[in-house]
Amino acid sequence: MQPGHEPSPVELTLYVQSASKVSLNAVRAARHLCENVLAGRCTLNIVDLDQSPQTAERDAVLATPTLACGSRRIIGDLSDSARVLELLELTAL
Amino acid sequence: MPKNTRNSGRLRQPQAHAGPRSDKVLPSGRRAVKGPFLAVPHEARFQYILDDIPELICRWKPDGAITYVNSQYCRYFGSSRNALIGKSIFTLSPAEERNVIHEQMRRITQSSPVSQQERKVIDGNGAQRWLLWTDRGIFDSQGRLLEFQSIGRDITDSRETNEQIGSMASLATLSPHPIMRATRDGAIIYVNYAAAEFLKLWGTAIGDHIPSTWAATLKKVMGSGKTAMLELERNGRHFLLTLSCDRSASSQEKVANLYVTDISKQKQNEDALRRSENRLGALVSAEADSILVIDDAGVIRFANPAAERIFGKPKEMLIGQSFGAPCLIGDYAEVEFPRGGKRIAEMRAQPVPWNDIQAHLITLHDVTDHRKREHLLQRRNRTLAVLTACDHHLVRESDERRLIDSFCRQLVGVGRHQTAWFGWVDDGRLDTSSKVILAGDETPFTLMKERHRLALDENDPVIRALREDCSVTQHDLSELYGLPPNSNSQPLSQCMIALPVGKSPETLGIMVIYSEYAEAFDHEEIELLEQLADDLYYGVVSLRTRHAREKAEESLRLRDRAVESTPNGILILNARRPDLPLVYVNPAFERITGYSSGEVVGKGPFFLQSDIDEDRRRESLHFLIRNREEGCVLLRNQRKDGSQFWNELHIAPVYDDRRMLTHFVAVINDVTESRHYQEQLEYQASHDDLTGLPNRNMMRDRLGQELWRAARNKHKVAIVFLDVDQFKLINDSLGHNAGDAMLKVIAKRLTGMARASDTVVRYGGDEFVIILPDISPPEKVASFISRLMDVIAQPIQLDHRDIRVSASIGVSIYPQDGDHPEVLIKNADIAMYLAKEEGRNRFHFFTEDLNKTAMERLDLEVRLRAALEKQQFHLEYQPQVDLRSGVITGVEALLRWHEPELGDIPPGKFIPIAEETGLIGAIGEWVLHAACVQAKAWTDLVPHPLTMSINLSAKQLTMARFDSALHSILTDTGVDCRHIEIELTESAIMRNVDEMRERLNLLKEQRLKLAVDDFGVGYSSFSHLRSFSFDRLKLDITFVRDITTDPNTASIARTVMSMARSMHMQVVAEGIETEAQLRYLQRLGCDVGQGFFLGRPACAQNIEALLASPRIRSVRPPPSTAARNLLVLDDEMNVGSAIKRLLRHQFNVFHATTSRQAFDIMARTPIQVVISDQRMPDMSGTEFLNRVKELHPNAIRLILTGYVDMETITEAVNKGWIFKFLTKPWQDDKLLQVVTEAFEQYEKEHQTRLLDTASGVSDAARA
Repeated sequence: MQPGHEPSPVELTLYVQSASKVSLNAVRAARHLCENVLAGRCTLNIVDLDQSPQTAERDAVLATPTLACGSRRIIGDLSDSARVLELLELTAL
Repeated sequence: MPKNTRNSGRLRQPQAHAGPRSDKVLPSGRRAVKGPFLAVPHEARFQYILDDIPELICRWKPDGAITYVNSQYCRYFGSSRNALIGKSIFTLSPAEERNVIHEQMRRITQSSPVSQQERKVIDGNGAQRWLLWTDRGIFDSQGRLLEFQSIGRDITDSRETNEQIGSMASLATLSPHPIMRATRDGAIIYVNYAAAEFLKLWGTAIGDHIPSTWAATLKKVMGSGKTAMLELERNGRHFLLTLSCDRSASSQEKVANLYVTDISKQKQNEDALRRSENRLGALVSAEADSILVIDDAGVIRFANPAAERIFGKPKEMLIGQSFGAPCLIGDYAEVEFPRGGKRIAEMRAQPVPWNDIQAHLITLHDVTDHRKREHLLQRRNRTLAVLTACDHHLVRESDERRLIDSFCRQLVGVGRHQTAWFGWVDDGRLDTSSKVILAGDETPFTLMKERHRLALDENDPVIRALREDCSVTQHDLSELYGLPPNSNSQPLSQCMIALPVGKSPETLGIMVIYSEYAEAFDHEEIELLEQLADDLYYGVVSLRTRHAREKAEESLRLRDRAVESTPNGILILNARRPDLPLVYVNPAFERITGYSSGEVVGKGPFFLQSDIDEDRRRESLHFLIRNREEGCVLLRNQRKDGSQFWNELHIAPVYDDRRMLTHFVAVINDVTESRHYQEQLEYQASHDDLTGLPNRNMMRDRLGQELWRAARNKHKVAIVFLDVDQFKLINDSLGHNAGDAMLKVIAKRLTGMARASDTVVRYGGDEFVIILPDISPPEKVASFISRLMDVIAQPIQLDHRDIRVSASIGVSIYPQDGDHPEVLIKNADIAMYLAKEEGRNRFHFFTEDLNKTAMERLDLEVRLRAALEKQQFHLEYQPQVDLRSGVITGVEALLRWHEPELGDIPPGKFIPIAEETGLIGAIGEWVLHAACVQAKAWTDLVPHPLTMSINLSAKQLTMARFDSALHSILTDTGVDCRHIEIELTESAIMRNVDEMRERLNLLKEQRLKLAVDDFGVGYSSFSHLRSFSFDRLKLDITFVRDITTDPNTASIARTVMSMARSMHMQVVAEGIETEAQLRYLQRLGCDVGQGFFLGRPACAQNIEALLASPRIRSVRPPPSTAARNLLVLDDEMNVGSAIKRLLRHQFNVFHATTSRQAFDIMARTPIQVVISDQRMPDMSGTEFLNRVKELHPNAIRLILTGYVDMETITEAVNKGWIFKFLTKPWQDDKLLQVVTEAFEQYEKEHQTRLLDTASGVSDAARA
C-alpha cells in the first residue's frame, strides 16, 4: 500500500436468510473476506431477509446469499475469495 | 416378342455383292466361280448365279422335303447336295423354329406369295445362327401350291448389335425415376414408365403439355440453357423436378429433359427436425428446473416458467432484473429464495451465446424437498450413530451414572440435540432430590424447573410420560412454558421428547431430549430413541446385576483367600461318591503333605494314611464319615516323600439346601511339632543316643523282619557281631569322652561299609551288630568282614593322636545257625568270643566247617594277592594233537600257582577267588602276556602253525582295562594273532550273551581265534553258538570219559561233532586218557584231541622237545586188517578160554571178563561180532549188547545164556539188540555155525553200507 493513497472503503452488503447453513457459510465467508482479504478496508452490511422481508423487495434481491458491492452483485458460494473479488471487480491487498 | 411381329412390315432388299470377284478362296470358304457368264448356256448361267450368290437358296415341298439347294446352302450346312436333297428343312432348324416355319407357310398365299422371316438354323458346325429368310410360294396355274423357295442371309452379327442398342434404350424406359422430354413449348414427347405414372398425378400424359406451374421454369431453362430445379408437392408427396436443356437427336431442336426425384422422405425428416425444435422450446418452458439466461452484468434476459415459480414473480418482473453474477465453487452453489416458502436450489451456470452477447445459462434445481429428506436422514443417521456410540458405552462403562451421562452426551454430541437430561425416578415420580444428569444447553431444563416450581402440570410431557409409561413428544414449547413466540433471541427448542427408562413399576428414570428442529421427533426417530431408552435401562440393570455379582464374588474371593492362606490344610471331599474323591485342597495342604493339588484332586483321601497308622485311629475317622458326623481325629499320615506327620483332622459334613450330603470339609492341623517330642521318645527308645544307630530294641524288630523275608525268599542272613578290642583300656586311659568319640567314628565307618539293605546296630557298650540280608555264598561274608576289619584298623584321631584299634568279630548265619533272632545273636556273640580267644583282631564263624572254609579262603585270598608279585605263577602247556595225522597242532596254556607253603594250588581253587576279588585282571594279563611270548617263540621255532590256546575268564574279558591291555600285549609280544586262541567256558558266555557277543566280536576283529571251552555242560543253545562264530569247540572232559561205555554220552558226542562240522567248527576232545577213548573219538571223526594219553601238561622245555618230533605215535590208528575179530564177554575165564580155543583158527578172538573191558576192546579194535554172556555181575548181557548197539551199531551181537529167560531174550531179539542167542552149554559145531553166520551177516551188511555210501556219494555228486 502506498502511503498517501488511502482508497475509500468498500461497502459490501450481504443478503442472507437466517438459520440456514448456506447463509451461515456466506456470512462466514463474507466476514473472512472483509476482515482478512480486504483487511478491514470495507464495511459489511448483513441483511437478514427473514427479519426484514421488505428489504428483499426494495433491493430487488431475488435469491440469497447475494453479495452486493455498488451496482455489482454476485450470488452463490462466496468462499472463494479470489473469485468473489474478481467478480466484484475489486482487488485484494 | 414374336419375330414376325418384330419384322412385320419391313422388307430389306438383299444386298448385292459389291466389288470385283476374285478366284481366291474367300475367308468364308466360298469358292470363286471361274469364267464369264456369257460363255455358258442359259440353264448353266443361272446355275452359276445361284451357286455364286452369298445367300442360301433352297426349294422345298410343303412337307419340308428339300428339292433344290445351291452350293452356298451346301457349304453352310457342311453337307453335299445329294445328302441335302430329300431331307426335311425342319431337321436343319432348332425344334422351336418348326412352328415358325409353319406359320410362315400359312402366311404365304397365292395373292401374297412372298414373306420374310428371321429364323434360326443349325449350321454345319452345330451352331445356331440367325438368318433372314425370303420365302416364296410357287404355285401352278391353278393356284396350287407346289413348293417353297427360300433365300436366306446370315444376320446373326447385325442382329446382336441391334439387340444391344435396344437394351440401352430400356435404361431410361425402365428407370424407377420419372424421366420425360418436352418440347420448347411444353409438349411432352417422351415419358418412361415411371413418368407415365407420375404424370397421372398431374392429370396429364405424353402428348399433352406439362402442368402450367412448371412452365415458367421450363421457359427459363430453355432460355438460359441452365439446369433448374423445382420442388413440387402432390397429395402429400414431395418431388424435386430437375429440368435441363437438350437437343433432340433427330431435329437438333432444343428440347427439355425433365427428371423427377421423390423427396418425400427428406421432407419428412426436415419436418421432424422442425417439430423437435419446437419441442425443445416447450421443454425449456415445461422444465421443472428454473432456467435463466443472464448477461454478464447479472441481468436476467430469459426465464422459464419454473423460474417464475421459484422466484415467486412473473417472467415480466424477472427479465431485466439483476440476479447477480454466479459465483460457484466447483460447478455449483446453493442459493435460497426469500419468497415462495424458503426454497433452496442448486445453482449451475454455463456460458452460452445469447443474441450475440456472452451470457450465462443458469439452472436452478430445486432441492428443498431433497434437503428436507436429507436432513431427516441425517437426523436418523445421527440417532443411529448415537445408538451405536451408546452400545459402545454399554459394553465399556462400569458405573451407571457415567453410563447415563455418556448417553446424554452422545445425544447432544453425536445426535446434535439441543439438550438431553436424565432424571431418576422413584416409585413412578421424578426424584427431584437426586441430581439430574444433563448434557447440552441447560436452558430448556432450567425453564422446566422454574415451571415446576410454580406448579406441577399434569400435562407436562415428563409427567405424562411417567404416568402413561410411554414416550411423549411435545411441539411448540413456547406455549408450554408460557413464553411468547420469538420473545427471546436465544435459540429456543422447537420440540421435546420424554422417554421413560424402564417400564413401570421398575422405571429407573426419565430421559428428556430437546431439539431445535421443529420436526425432530418423527415416528422413526421416536422408535430409535425408545430403543435407546431400552438400551439404557438394560445397561443400568445389567451393571447393577454385575455389581451385585462382583460383590458376591468379592466376598467369595475373600473366603477363598482365607482358605488359601490358612496354615491349616483344608480338603473338600465329594461325599456323593463312595471313594470320597478330593475336589479341593488348599495350598497349606500341599505344603504339609508335599502333594500338589493336581496330584490328589480326584483321588480318595486315604492315600495319606501311613501303613503304620493305627487301626484304632483310622476306624474313628471312618466312623465319623459313615455317620456323617463332625469330629476330630488325631492321625499319623504320610507325606509324598514317605515321611510321616501327625495331624489333627477335623472333619465336617456339608449339606446342600435340600439337606443332601454333598461334601465333607476336612481341616488338618499339622501337629508334627507337638508330636515331635513324642517321636523323640520313640526314637530314643529305638535308637542309640551316642551314635544315632538303631539300638537293641530296634534291632530285634529289624532282624525279625529280615528273617521273615529271608525265610520267604530262601535267602541266607548273616549276623555279624563286632566287639572293639580293649575298649576298656582306651576308655580308662583316654577318658569316656574319647571312648565315646571313638565309638562314633567306628559307628560311622561301619555305616559307611554297609549296603542300604544292611542294618548297623549299636548293641551296647563297644558292641555292634550288623545284619546282612541275602548273602550267598556265606563264604563271601569273609571278604566283607576282612574289609570291615581293615576299615576299623584305620587310625582314629583322638586328642590329636592317632589311635589304632581292632575288633573281634563273630558271625552266625541264618538258617543254619538258628532261626530265631535271639539264638542267632547269641551264636554270633559266641563266635565273637571264640575270635577273641584266638587272640583278637580276627573273626570267627559260629559253624566250624564254614569257619574253616572261610578262613582258608581268606588265607588263600591274602596269598593270592601276593602271588603275582612273588612270581609264584608259571605256565604249563598241554599238547593238542590232530587225531588224523598225530601232529601236535597246538598247546593249551595252563596256569600253575606254586605257593611255597601250600604247594601247588589247583586253578579251580584260586581262580574263583581271583575273579571275585578282581585279581583276575592282573593274573589274566600275566597269563596272556606269558603265553603270547611263548607262542611267539614257538611260532618262530616250529615250521607248522601252532595254536596257543589261552583260557580267559569272562570276568576278565568284561573288565574295562582289558581292551587296552590285550592290545598292548599283542603289540608288545609281536605275536601273530592267528596263532592265539582264546578259550571261554560255555557257561561264561551264556551268562550274558549280548555283552559277550560284543566283547567277542572285538576279539574277532583282532583276528584272534575263539574256542568254547567245556562244551556240553553249559546249556548253550546252538543258535547262540552260531551267532558267536567260534572257531573251535572243546568237548567237555565228562563226555570223553564215558564215551566208550555210555551210549548217551557217545550219542551226545556224535551230535556235537556233527553239529560242529555243520557250523564249520573244529572239535577238540579234552581229557583223552585211554587208547579206547582215542580210538573211539577217531572213529567218530573228532578233529583234535588233548589229554594225558596224548601228552600231559608240561613246562615249555619239555614241550619244545616234544615239538621236535611232532608226531605222536600212538595217535596213528593200528593198520586196519581184514581179520574177523570176535569179542567174547564172559566173567568166567574158562568160558572165554573155551570159546577162544574153539574159534581161534577161524577168528581173532578177544576175551573180556567185564563190560568195561569189553567196551575198551571194542573202542580200540574193530569187532565184527560180539558174544556176551547173559548173566554177569555188573550188567546183564542184553543190557551190555544194547549199549553195544548204540556205541557200535554195526557189530553183530550174540548172546550166550546158561538159562533160558525166554521173555528177556525174546524182547532183546525183537528190539534188535541181538542177532541170535546161544545156550550154555553149547554144542561146538552149533556155536561155530552161528558165529560164522554172524560174520557173514556182518559182511553182508557191510557190503550194503559200502554201496549205500557210494550211492550216497554219487547221489550227492549228482545233486
